[in-house]
Amino acid sequence: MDLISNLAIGFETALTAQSLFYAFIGCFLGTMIGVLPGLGPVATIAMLLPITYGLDPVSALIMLSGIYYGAQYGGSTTAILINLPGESSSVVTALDGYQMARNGRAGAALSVAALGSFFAGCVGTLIIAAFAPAMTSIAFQFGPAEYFALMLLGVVCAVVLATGALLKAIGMVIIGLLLGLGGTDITSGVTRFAFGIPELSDGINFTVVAMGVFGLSEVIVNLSTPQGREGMLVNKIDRLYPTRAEVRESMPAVLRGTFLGSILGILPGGGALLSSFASYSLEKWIAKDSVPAFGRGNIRGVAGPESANNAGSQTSFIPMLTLGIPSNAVMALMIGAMMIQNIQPGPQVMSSNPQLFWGLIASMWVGNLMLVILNLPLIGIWVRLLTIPYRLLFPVILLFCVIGVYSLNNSVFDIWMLMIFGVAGYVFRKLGCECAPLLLGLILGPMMEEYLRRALIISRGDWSVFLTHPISAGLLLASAAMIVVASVPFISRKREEAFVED
Amino acid sequence: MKLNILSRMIGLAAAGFFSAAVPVQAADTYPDRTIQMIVPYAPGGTTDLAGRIVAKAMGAAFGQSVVVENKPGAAGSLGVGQALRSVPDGYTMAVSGVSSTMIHDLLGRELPYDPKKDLNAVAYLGSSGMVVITGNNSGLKTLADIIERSKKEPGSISFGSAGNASPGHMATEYLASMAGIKMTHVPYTGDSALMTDLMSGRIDFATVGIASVFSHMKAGSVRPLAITSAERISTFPDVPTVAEAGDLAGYEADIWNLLVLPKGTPAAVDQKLNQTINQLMREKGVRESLLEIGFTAREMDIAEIQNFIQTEREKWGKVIRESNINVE
Repeated sequence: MDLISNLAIGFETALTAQSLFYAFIGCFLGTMIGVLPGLGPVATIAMLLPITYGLDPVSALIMLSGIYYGAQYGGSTTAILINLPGESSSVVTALDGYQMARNGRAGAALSVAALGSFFAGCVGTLIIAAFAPAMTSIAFQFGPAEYFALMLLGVVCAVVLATGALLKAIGMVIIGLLLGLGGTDITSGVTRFAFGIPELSDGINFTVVAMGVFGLSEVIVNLSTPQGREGMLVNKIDRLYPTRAEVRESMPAVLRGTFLGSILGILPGGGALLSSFASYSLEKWIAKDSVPAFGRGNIRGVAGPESANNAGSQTSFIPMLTLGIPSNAVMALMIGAMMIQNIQPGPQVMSSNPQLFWGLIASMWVGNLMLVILNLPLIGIWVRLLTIPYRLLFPVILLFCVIGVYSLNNSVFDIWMLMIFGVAGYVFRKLGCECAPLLLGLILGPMMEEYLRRALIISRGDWSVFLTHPISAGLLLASAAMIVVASVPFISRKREEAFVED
Repeated sequence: MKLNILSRMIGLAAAGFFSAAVPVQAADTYPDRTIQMIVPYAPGGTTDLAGRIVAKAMGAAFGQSVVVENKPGAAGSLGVGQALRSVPDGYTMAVSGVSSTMIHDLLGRELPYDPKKDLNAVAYLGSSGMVVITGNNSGLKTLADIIERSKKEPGSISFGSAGNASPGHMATEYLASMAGIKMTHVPYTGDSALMTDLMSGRIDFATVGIASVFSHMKAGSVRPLAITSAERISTFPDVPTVAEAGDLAGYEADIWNLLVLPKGTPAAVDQKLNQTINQLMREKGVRESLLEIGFTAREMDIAEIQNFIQTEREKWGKVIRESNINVE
């Protein structure tokens, strides 16, 4: 078996003391920066890039990828504990994870997130090892028309499967899409809605909005009630680890999430981004009658998206390793690190540097294992963090929010934006509007526009491309089907209780 | 706009306040504290790498640390603007590129500074060419093929670049206007979508910075047709220049970087920076590090840089007038 012997080469490389050491450093650093809101892996890797010059290539890449998936783990920790998603993928985790924490189940949410991610990571690693070359063709199948259809499906899912009122969800998606209109028009170069402020000429940064409407508005909400000021969870922490029933509920969600994430992760144009949203929608659709409802602390809402997100972040290595095409900013930096080491990323890496290729893959598995070992004992500490009186905790949360947001672009302007969106988020909550659809609109809006216009430029203005390309046609059909399914009960005014106003 | 004027006024007030103190310490003691070098792009790109190489060498030469701060936004003009509005004491500088030095201005985009008045370029940090590439399965084997087909069917050939008025777009429009052809521009925002569409044949070719596709060229996963510089490059001696392959004598389009400071910086400081960096460009270590990321070092004194800016400005101004690049 080729796969076995290849993996053997990989583990030989990954299990040396040196590789283990750098994997640990990477995972540890990654977890730390993931826990600090806003401080993302991109800034960290960029800072560490010069250090990697001196390391041998295998160690350098092992450390960098450790930071990457360590940050994914750490990011969900703050999302669950204090409703502060630092990255697009943890927005979804915050929805039910934070509610679980409020119900005293923070430990369960964190451990399900860790174990689900570990499982997904293992599967993702195996997929890379076994199918990487075969799966690259999927990436090539996706042109602008296909991406547009995929994004449209994402928006439709967000609306159809939103918790509260359908109309409010539609409203929030539209606000998100409108916010996404600001910035430089890609096709013509015209700046839209910048109001003469140069900082607005690239549009509104997603992370700033996410931290504002989730994290900052949460702080305002908590401070507005006496029990919120006291600290919400002092007496409510029961068992740290999930109950048997919770495990039983999570398992299928983890499996589905892993599957979805593995597929979507391969698409370099934003597929990995969609995977956690997609998984959440899927879970909600499959288990819509489960208790507690989604958005109120349902464990599937944590298990599915967390697995999807981790599987996606594993398989997003595939386009980089096999094509030299980076699927996100972190991957671009890793390609930079490879080039500094005089390794040309691309299909030939597998044959020219088998140690590096298979060693990196094996180290992903090792790193995932390390993260579980590192994170499971930490859960107790994290949960105890919640017993800190809120009046002491909230200034720290604010401080890290501000530092994190500043570090995005080294810009004070972003801190002002954070505050504006914090207040906006508070108003939305008081109005009973959910912010997740808004964020999805903000993320997907600009991408949809970009892909739509690119598809039309390439087709020279012929709209039929969206229907003549089979993948695109299929995805559009799925969107149409979802709208019909959702609107039938709406029209007959027999929408289920869970859909109606809370 | 009001905000701009206000912040500029504050900047000027601060400048007036500090400039009284500046001449005292003059150039013989400069620099006696940490220098801030703003790279107006996200970390990891070629400009960032080039800036860091120079910053490190400068730090060693001066015995003072030169701290690189990434300040991305508005295609480079945000970071450059911040440096140009800072106190002109030589301790805040930025790396500017073709776009932030002139293209934005030539297109009439609103900028937080006026490149013609506020920009004080003290050193040339090297240049890098671009390359015309196609996917391996493309039927277009040479640049002449592209030109020939575009002459027969205007607009039938599509090309990708890093965005509207990006150097790759400008270079291709320059080529098109010299060859008298018309092609369809497809703007991209990131390398990944561009490379996927190129490799799968959705677009016919792309013009991008050599450094960003160096690995693909070496791996043979794309086919280089022509280099936009005036001369071939040593790493790929078989790839012709655009001038040779397209029979377009005089064609030359490069990406370059300058070190810029606010106007009003003491002339002695400008000179010291210019001389120090030219000295560094002569050093083998710096030269080779720059070459590794695709940059060719070149020494220029301040007057030569001013001439260079003038020539480039005329060239790109003409391209913009003759082609359909515009901000509507």
